[in-house]
Amino acid sequence: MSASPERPRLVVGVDVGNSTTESCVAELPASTGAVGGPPATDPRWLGGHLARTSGVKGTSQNVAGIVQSVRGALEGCGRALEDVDVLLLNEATPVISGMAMETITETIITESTMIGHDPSTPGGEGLGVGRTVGYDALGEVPEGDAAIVVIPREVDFEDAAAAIEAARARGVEVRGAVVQRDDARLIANRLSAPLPIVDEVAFVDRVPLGMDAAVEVAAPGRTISTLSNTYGLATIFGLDPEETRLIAPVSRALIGNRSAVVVRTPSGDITARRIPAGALELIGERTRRSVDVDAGAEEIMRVLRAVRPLQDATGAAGTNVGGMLAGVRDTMAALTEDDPGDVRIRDILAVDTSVPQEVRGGLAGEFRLENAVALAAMVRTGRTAMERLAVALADETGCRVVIGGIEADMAIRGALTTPGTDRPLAVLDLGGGSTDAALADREGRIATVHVSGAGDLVTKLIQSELGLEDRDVAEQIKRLPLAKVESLFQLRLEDGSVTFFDEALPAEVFARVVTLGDDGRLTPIPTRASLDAIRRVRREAKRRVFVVNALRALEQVAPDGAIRRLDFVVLLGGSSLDFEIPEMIAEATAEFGIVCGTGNVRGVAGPRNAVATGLVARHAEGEDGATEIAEPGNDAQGTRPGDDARPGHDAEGPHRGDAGVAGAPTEVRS
Amino acid sequence: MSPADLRRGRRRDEDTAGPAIRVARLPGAADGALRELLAGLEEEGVPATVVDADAPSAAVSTAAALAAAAHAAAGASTLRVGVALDAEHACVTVPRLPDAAPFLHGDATDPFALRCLGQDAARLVKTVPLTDHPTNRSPR
Repeated sequence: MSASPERPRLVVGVDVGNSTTESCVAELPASTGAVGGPPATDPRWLGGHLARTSGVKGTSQNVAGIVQSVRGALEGCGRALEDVDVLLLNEATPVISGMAMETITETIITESTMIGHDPSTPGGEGLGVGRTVGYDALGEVPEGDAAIVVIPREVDFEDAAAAIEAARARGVEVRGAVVQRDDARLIANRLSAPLPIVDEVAFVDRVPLGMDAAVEVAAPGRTISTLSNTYGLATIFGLDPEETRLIAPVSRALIGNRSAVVVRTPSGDITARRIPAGALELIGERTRRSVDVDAGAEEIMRVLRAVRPLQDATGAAGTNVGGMLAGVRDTMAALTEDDPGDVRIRDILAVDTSVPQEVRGGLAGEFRLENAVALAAMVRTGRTAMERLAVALADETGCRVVIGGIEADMAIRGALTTPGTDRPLAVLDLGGGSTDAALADREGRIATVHVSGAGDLVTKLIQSELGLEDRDVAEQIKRLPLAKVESLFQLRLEDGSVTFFDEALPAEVFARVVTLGDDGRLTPIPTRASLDAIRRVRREAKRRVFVVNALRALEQVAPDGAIRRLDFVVLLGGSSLDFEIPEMIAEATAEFGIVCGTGNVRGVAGPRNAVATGLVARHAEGEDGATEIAEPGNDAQGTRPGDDARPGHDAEGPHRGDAGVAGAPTEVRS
Repeated sequence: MSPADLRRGRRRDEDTAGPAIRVARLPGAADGALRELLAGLEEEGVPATVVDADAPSAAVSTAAALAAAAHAAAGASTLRVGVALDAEHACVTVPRLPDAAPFLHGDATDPFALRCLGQDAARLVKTVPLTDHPTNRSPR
């Protein structure tokens, strides 16, 4: 015991999460916690703080984030690092998560070249079929030939219109035009008879000349109907059934466009390479099952349920899924400094998604939504990593560092500081990397489970489905409500209400979909997707990760696996601060008759800081504190509240147990 | 006018009492500059009316006179968007903004900037996101 009995001891609890590091400062009466001392007294809470986790959770890289978080908390209550009696670190953070995403479809155009980028202002309307000819060669096209003229950036719109008129006067059938600049309407307005024109084609120099081509522009408010129809293309180009099969991806890629160009090129110089998505091998304790990734996320999750508890997952080498899991394994191995062969994937969340991919064979940077599967995988970290972190932290701060307290146990203790809560209680900790559930029954016995997939996966889904380059934009979409700037002075929020401004809004946000910051800041989202589409992507991503995981996790801690037998659920963790995730989960659990709400740790911290608070609470309840790392306890069954001599519990225990029945704490740590 | 002509939209030189953006042409504005500005408007399919504005009095700066002309044009425009062009600059504004602080501002000697400015004026009417031309932003 390092504290002198005369003065109160200053204790800081630290919880390192996937994305944030939280700390909680409290003062304990001098004698609290001493062996054989007076009964535990409530800690005097001084405050908490939150910092970004540095590096990956559970590694020595975390020290910087911890120090920042602890300093912040201490500064908030006017204390210094030197005053700290002990830093409490949550017991070996049991899981780290990784994500991978792989497209399982790909559009490669081999027999044709297409332009399907959908410029905002195409010219003319109708369908034109002819042979592609460069602007300079238009004068040499023989009389009576059908031509599609290709016009580069250097050509002025009036000259282009005059040249087309001149060629027509000579008897050349000019049937359409492909233009590099945004000039389609300007040219179309200067012609005596209408002509379909597609403009803003960035790589106009790559349009093959002397080839059969078709240009289609639909009337305003409509979409093209011939080039987006496989048999329409077959009719235009006179294709046989085999050729029609090969051109089908082109028409599929053009569906929904207002304008398009398809150029028929001699076949065969590009061959389609398709990597099979492959099968996912799920290895359970008693059984192993294989599931085809093509079958989709729902089927993968159904099979996973059947093999649970999962011991490992692999994918066949040379397939997409094999590469994906190998990637996760390598990343994890690098972080934990284990051999990749020793890394075991203990949970998987599969989510169906779509990814905009550049169409190979397109000429204007076209994108097409390809189907993809996102996998969040979770592995357990080695205990050594946590010990290394504790040593590094002690060196850095000069404080005594104690690792202890099972994270879930601590989360429940923290959650119980929420006004109006009592055992039995289930908590759902919605974090960045994993979703954790824990159930404490009336006697204080605790069952826990960690499932992979949480806030980071939501961000990744939003980023990939909207094709955003910047992860921060996706993060903002996840966290903030959307709005559409409807005029220079008004904004329509996603709930339909309208806000007016006295000052004109900046030009950058005009007519754009923006995120509405807490400080009123408007950030434009760089996509053409509508507000409704972005909102749908956002809500679906949250639903597919958090609602699915909440039910999956609760099911694993509930007595007999029956969610119905739970009464109270408290939501914790950063993602519980989200403006719609808690209500989505509340709605989904309401049908099981569960009372579900967001926690309010210490009555002030909201759903944050539960584990850090729990660490301090346990310490105050009379932990000895003399051992840096406690020895495994034998009385792991039926832990009393306040009995915390259980860190170091058997690492090879089952991932989940029938906790409510046997009361066995089933948390597994390294 | 035949239906075919109608479908192709109005030509810029046609006098119109219908919806139009008003473009004020100050003395010294080049024909080529006006052509690019109007091409931008036309490509977006928004009609425009060109009016000649009076030479600014010696009492005001050319910048102030340009802004005031755009503001006046916006007030008179049936689409509530006004554009003004002189020898060096062009600007776009709407009636609700102060007459000394136009919304967009461009270099009248850069044809591409003018084209974008014309498109942006039209897009103000259409309520679609503006072009990403880097310089056409008024310092605010």
